[in-house]
Amino acid sequence: MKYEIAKKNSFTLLSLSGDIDLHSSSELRKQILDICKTKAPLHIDLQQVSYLDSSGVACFVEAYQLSKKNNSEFCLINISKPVMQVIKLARLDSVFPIK
Amino acid sequence: MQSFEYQYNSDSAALRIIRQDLKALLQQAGFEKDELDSVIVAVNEACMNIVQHADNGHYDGCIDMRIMIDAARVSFEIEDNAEYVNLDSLTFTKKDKLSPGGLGLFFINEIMDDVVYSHKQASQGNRLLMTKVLNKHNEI
Repeated sequence: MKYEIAKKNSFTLLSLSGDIDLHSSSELRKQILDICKTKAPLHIDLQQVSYLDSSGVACFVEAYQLSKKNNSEFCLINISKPVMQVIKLARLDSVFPIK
Repeated sequence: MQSFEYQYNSDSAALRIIRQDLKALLQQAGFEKDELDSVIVAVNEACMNIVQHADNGHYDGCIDMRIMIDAARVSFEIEDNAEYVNLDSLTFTKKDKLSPGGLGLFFINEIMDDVVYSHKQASQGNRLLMTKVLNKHNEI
């Protein structure tokens, strides 16, 4: 997994690529939580993500819950097909804000 | 029926290799893409459980996998030589879905048609046998 963080005018954009699995999800969790601590609106771009496992889904659930607690915006954008399949499998496609 | 055997180290870096091997094998066998992708998710989650057990310091051995394919189904026998796990803890219930470990079990149960956890005959070791009935007949 690779990631890029870009600070836009009104939100922070976290762009991810590659496979998100147990090998990479601890780094992903650290990056997401660091951004959430700033309470900045967070958009996560998943267009270039080729694989997502349950440990990656858990990172997004934690970020979503933390954002709700902080009253800050959280959304997933440009979700790739393999990632959407897993999010739907977890029945979270109607839970996560998706753009 | 054809049978294929693989062995991997029980560390998180092996998960990507497992997925790549599985994808190559199932593509060759003529699996439909959606079916192939979902089966890979289930196998990855099963192997991830073994790796997480290893990360907790309980196991530093191997993951042994046997894949059996015929025209109607594909089965995965996945074994470790770790200490026995409590089989009751692997019984999926709906309330487990939102727990970190529960989501993986949920995926496995959603994707596979038959899932059986057992202990190996030796004094240690765990076995998962899971089977997916195929939508159409494949080439193997």
